[in-house]
Amino acid sequence: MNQRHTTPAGRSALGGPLGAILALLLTAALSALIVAMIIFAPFAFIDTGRNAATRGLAAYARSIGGYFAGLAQGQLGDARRSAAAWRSLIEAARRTAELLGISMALAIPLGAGWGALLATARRPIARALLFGLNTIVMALPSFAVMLLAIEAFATLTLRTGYQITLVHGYGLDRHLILPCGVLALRGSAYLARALEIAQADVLAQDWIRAARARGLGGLALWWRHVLPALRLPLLGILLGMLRVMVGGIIIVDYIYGWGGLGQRMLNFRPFELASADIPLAISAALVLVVLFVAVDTLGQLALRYADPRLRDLKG
Amino acid sequence: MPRWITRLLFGLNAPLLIGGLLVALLAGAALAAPLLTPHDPLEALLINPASPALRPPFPPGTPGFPLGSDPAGRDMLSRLLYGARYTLAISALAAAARVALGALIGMLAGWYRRARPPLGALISAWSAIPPVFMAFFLIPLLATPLFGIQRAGPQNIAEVSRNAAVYTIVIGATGWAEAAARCQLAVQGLRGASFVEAAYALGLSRWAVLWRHVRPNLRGLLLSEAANAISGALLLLAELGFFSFFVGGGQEDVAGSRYLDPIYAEWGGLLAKGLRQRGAGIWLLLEPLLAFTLAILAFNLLAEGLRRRR
Repeated sequence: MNQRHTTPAGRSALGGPLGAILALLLTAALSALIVAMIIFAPFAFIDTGRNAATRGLAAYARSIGGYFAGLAQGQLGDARRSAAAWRSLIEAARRTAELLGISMALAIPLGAGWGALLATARRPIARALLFGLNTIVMALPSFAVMLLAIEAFATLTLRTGYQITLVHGYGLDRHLILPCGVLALRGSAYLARALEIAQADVLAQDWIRAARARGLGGLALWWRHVLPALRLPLLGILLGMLRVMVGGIIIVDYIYGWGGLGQRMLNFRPFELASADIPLAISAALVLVVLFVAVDTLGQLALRYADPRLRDLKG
Repeated sequence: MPRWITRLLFGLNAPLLIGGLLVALLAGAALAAPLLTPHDPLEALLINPASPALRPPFPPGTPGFPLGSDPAGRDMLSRLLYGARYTLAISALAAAARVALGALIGMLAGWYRRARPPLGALISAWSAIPPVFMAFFLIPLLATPLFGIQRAGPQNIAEVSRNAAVYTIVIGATGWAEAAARCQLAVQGLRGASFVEAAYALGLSRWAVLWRHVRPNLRGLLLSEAANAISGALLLLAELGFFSFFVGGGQEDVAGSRYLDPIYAEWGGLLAKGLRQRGAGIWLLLEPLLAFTLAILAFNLLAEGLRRRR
């Protein structure tokens, strides 16, 4: 399982919240630069027969500089289309935020319950089943689950005439069932597994053995000793879950035709992109990438605030 | 039973045992593909050429085609087994690159305080960019100018091999940041260890302490990272296949079509074709998807088992 409880963003040599904010700005700027370099590179270094004006290192640097200069003035592309491009970008960001928020709200209780079952199941068969189900959900690629679910529900509707859910498009109604279900399933599987690992770490500590020796056990032990110790890992785990879901939202959004940032980002391919659309492509990618970076850094800030050992860490 | 076997078997945890067995099974099937496959993966077969009713694709369970055939009449089991060779080889090489790059950058970022802000920002920035998005742009960027693969027209076997190298490099270059982040944290945790202080007391330089004393302590972490990296590489290959990017295909032909027939039966290519042809038989899509899922599951279990052993 790809665990990302903690990441190095925000832990700068300066220490303190100021250092973390500087690290956030540096990382966001660097990721924006990398995204722009990647998107403009094929136009500058591959001869398509139509791109004589944008080829070469100088034209490459000019294109990247021009994009950021325009962005600094609030322009997405040429002035005539900028307002429409901004509207389109904001609409896509709103749709992505809605999908992510609703999926998170589903995934947290589902994952917490699943994690509690994983951590407390005593019978080997029950444990193996819960662990196996968790591992299979984590191994299934999001696009495969989404694709098969769409095929299955579309076939069911065609054969029976009964429409449980819709299989394409945007809407805060039955449209939510499939994309939110797929995202929440993966997010909750991550949360459950990470919670179980964190709890196993806490239960192996000496103070838990001491509490058991004093006669504590069951829910009292968990409430008084395990839960307080889980507060810190929980922050990192929730952050990791958010990252897993932001990673999955790109492809779910694309397949379902939700119309969010993921769809705008993955619709773009080198050589199929009209030059006027490039700024919108980069901006859609940038919003998602900066969201990733911000989630990482804010999580680190929260951890630093919550854990005095991290707050006092210098270098 | 000899003692070393019982010690080996009972010393392993369940995920490590199951994951290890699955990986061994996959690798064994890939290596022994010529012995196991009933047919040539590239040969188009007909059950009875005289009977037009028996036209491919044949469904799974058809005599001689245990997993069915594709619309050209090629045996799916043979294609999947041969495809395992190319898929696992590309994933393993790309994972080796991911871990090597991640370990080096993570070690430097965790050990040298001055290197931490720029390298930490690079690790965070790189891990924030979705690998599939990065691969869309990096694959044509490497393929045409550096490896001389033509954008239009069908590819010969030499071009397909160069294309496999492009995919390996791109997949290796996209996913190193997660390994680097975990390596950085592990190295930071070891900075204050007593054996590190002892090494300094012996007069070793910072680099020598890092290389001779800290690096060997990362072996367990890097092993589970390698299993994680292979599973990540397989996932990326599957996602690229979904978007019709696959080894030996996914390029434009002269008519502007993006769907060339894969010469290699690499699973990403089978998935791309299965997706397009699923109307002819849903097994064309399900079988490569199941193959990817089984392989990802095997490496995830192996990674989890190795993590528990640390």
